[in-house]
Formats: sequence, C-alpha cells, structure tokens
Amino acid sequence: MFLDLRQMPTGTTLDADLCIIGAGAAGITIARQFVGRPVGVIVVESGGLDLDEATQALYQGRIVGHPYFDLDITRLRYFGGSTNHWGGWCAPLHELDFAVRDWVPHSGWPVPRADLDSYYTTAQTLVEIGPPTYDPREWQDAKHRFPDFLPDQMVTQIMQLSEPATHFGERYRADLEKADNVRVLLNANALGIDSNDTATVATGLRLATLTGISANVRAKVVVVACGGIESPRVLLLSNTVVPAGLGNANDLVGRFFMEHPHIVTGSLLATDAGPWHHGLSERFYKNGTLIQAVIATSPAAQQAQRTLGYSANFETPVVGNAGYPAYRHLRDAIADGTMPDHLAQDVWNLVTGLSDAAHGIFGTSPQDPYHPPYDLSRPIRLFTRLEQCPNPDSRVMLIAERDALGLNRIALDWRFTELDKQSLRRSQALIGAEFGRLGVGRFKYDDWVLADDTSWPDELLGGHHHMGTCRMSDDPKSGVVDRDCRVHGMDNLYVAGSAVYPTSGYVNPTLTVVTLALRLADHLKTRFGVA
Amino acid sequence: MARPAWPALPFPRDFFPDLASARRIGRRYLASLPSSLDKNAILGASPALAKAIEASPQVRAALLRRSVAEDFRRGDIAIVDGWVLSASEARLCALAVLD
Repeated sequence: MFLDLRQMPTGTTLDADLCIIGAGAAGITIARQFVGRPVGVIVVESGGLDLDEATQALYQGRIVGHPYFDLDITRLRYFGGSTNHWGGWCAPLHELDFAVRDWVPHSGWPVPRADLDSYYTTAQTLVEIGPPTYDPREWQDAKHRFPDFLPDQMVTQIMQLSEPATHFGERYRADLEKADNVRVLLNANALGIDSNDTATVATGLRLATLTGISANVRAKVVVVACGGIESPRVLLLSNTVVPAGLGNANDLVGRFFMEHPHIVTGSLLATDAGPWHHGLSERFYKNGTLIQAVIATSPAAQQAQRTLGYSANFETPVVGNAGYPAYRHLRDAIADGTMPDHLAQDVWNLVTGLSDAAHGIFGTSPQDPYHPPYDLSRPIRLFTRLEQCPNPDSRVMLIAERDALGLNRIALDWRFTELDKQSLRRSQALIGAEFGRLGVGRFKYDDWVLADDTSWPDELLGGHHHMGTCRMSDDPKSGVVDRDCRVHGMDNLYVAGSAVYPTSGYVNPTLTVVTLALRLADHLKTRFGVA
Repeated sequence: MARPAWPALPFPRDFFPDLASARRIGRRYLASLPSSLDKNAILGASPALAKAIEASPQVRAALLRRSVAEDFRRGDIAIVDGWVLSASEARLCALAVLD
C-alpha cells in the first residue's frame, strides 16, 4: 500500500514492527522480503514517485575536500532511489576484499565472502543479470577474446550489465503496492530517530513533509537505508538524547568515506592488439547477458605488490571516417528532408568505406551491435577505477547550514592516502609488464601518476559510489555497525547499503548492496520469528 | 671462459630503426639510475642481453625478443619517461649512448 504523508493529518502516529528509512535498492529489497509475512512494515521515502526539485535539493551540501560532484546530483531522492539513474554495472566483491590485508589500514570485514555467496546468487536475479559466474573463459566468443594474462599478475574482470538497468522503484513497486503488511509512506522526510533515554533502543522516528505536515512512526526495529551520505546524516541528526548522534560514541559515523576514483591514467600503444581489443573495448551479449570486460590486478598481485584493487577499461580510438556512420548521416538527412551538415565528407566516407557501411547495415543485430573500426595507430587510453584506502579523515559531517526542513546540511571532505597513489603506480607497472610480455605494445603512464606525491588531478571524479561512512566491524571502536549491520550499542537500529562497507573493492557497489540487504532481511526475519 | 669485455663487441646498431630516439631513451634511463653504469656493468647485469648482442644477426632479434619477454614475465622493468620498458630494452638503449 502506498500513502502520501502530505495527505495525512499532521500529528499522525504510525505503528510498525519494522520501519525502513529509504526506498532505494536496499530498502525495497528488505521490504520485499517481508511481503506476506506477519510483520508490519513501513517504508519511509523522502520523495514521491517522480523526481521533485525541492525534495532533491534536500541533498545539497558543501564540498570541502577533493573536488566532487554537487551532492544533489549524485543520488536520487524518490521511490526507487538512485537505481533510477543506475548504470547497471555488476560484479561481486572478491574474497580478498573481505580479508584483513596488513598493508591496507582498517581493512577486513567481520564476515567472509563465503557468507554472502548464496545472497549474491539471489541478488543477481533481483538486478536482472545473468548467472553468478565471472570466469572470463566462459564469456569469450570468437570475436571477443581476452588476454592470456599471467593469473598471478592481471585478470580480466567481467562486469555484467543490467540492461536496461533495473529501476527498483518501477520494477518492484507492484509487489509493495499489493502487500497488505507493507506501507510505503511517500514524501516523508526523516527528521531524526528517537531513542530511549540511554540511546540503546530506537523507539521510532520523526517525520515531516516539505508542506509542513509532521508525523511520527513507532517501530520495534528501524533500518536506515539512505545511501552512503544520507545514512550517516540521519544518524548524526538523531541527536536529541546524545549530542553526537546515534551510534557515534566513538566518533566514527560519517568517517571513512570512500569512492571509486575514476580517471584516465595512461595509454597503451598497441603494435599488435590481437583479437582481444574487441573483447576489452566493447560491450557485448553472451547468452543473453550484456557484459563489459575490464582489466584488473589479480588478488595475488595485490598481495605481492601490497596494493589496493585496480581496474581499468579500454578507451580504444575509432577511425573518424568510417562508412557506416556516414551512411546513417545521409540516411537520416534524407528521411528528414534536410541537407546533411557535411555532405561532401559523408559521401566520400561512404564511398571509401563501403565495406564498413555494408557491415553496419547487414552484419549487425541488437545482440551484436555495430562498432566503428578501431584505429590502433593511436594510443588506447586506460580509464581507471580504483579501490580507495579506508581513511578516517575522509568523511562527511554536519555543517551549520540548514535545508528547507531546518536540518543541518552535510559537508563532504573526500581525501586520499599515500597508499592510493602508490597502488596506482605499482598496478600500472604490472599492466605495462603484462602487455609487454604478451607482445601487445608498450604502456605509458600519464605524467601525474608518476609524480612521487599524494596529489590527484581535479579531473579525478568518483562513480557516485558512496561507501564506508557507517562501516562494519565487530569492534565498536572501529565500526559503526556489527556483522549483522546493527548499530553498536543499539538493540534495534540497523544500517543497510554501501555505508556499511569497511572496504570497497574496485567493483561497482549495487550488487553487494542488494546482497547485504538480503542478508540483513534474513537476520531480521529470525529476529521477528518469521524465518 | 670469461665473456669478452664490451669494447670487443660490435654494437648492433641495426637493432634500432631510429638510433637517435634510442639514445634519448638511453640517456633518460641512465639519468634515472642511482649511480652511473658503464658498458660492462650493464652487460654484466643482463647476461641474456649480452648473449643477444654477441649472437649472429640471424638469431639476434629472436634472442632479444626472448630476453625482453622474460624481463616482462619477471617484472624486470624500467620506467623511462613514463614508458614501461623491459630492463633489456632500457639497457640496450643505454648501450647506444655509451657506444
């Protein structure tokens, strides 16, 4: 059932067994697990069913560290959350990502990867991708080959793409609408979580709309599932009993903010790229699943080189005068009854590129789409995505400035460590060695990478992946939540989503968000006696 | 039997289609080293390279390719001007300077 808080009388109090704050990938996944079970669920969503500028503006904040996107564009604040603009890239974290690595400060999850295996399998179906196999040998085809890397050096990492990306709001809305025991409360902004006098039990939360309606929820269990920036904000704003905010006895809430730094870091001048530049340059379908392969350092190499995770995909240059694009320009202009912008050039390209035009017209299909011919006389640029070292000084924090609801906005202070850049340098040496060994060509670092300092260019951005700000640890002194995602020191307050990641790996986070949500749902089912 | 000293070896200029470029790389490589090296030190550090240079022109390229591939396999690389080269390649360029 869907409700709109704006249509309810102010001062309403709603009761629930389970209250989930946030209807994104994590919140919706948990709520669906309780459909039809004897547990009353309320999902509190700040937005409505569509994007609303005033609601989105509640995300605004300050950037005080490394340059970053405006905070109100990185996440989406309406039903379905940021899956509404999700790119769909999926891969599970690796076993090494969960391990304590003595060269990575603050590394180690309190749960091993094996504990997540069955949840990963289910999560694959929820995000609507292929089977849970990532062995590159199983994804090659005749056209798309992958390099024969030495397995202790580099690997080909398969990324499965949810295509079109599953928008959880659209995809799973009907399940929640039909559920008698689930209420989705739209346009309901959490002002803060209430607790008992000792801040050990969450009792509910205070809500308000942008139109001035206020309400309360009383709940036996509260799950905060608002993303890696807003989840710590909710905890920090829950400061009526303890000024530092709930779960923040050790000043950890909001710290350890991690992203996946994205930037071009070098070039491969290929003298013989063999058949696999297609495999590393193109998205392609195999058995109905769209994939994109990237190169990555192997777990063994990360251990040997004492580096963080590293991955990169190829940006392979294409010829600028291919026949098929020229054909399309001419075809579209004729269909529109207009004169092509570059008639002479298009005609010339079509005439000189008849073979490519024929391939584009007759030799492609939705499963094997057209790609312009590659120009391997120019360098292949490597677009790198890195794991970031957990760093307590990289953080989000409340600032004095307030939003339309009177709540303190957030500041993001994104920072890096020496290990981040050192890992990049060492990882690229492996790339250079492996491509040299394979006889492909030679790799060249971008100059700034070799600078022996900790600086990063302003062009470095993230992937809208916000992680680590309510990190998981068995020790309350080093984590906000325990292995069950329960806030340390609290009996019934949980955090779901990428905020709990102690480390981030280099793969995109959404699949693991859904995986951990399924695991948390199982824990809560046991707690409610409905497993 | 001891390997002959470097001056006795003919430097294989035909390794390089562009000797000037090789010497530029060689100079940068030598400048990046913590201490100066002479020809014998370079060859002493790389028996496979010395063997390639000593070999007949018919097998020289193959031996050098093997030496380069082995360097890359072992991670024996040199980063010169940002380029990741095998140690043999960098040393060969250095020899082009020292010749």
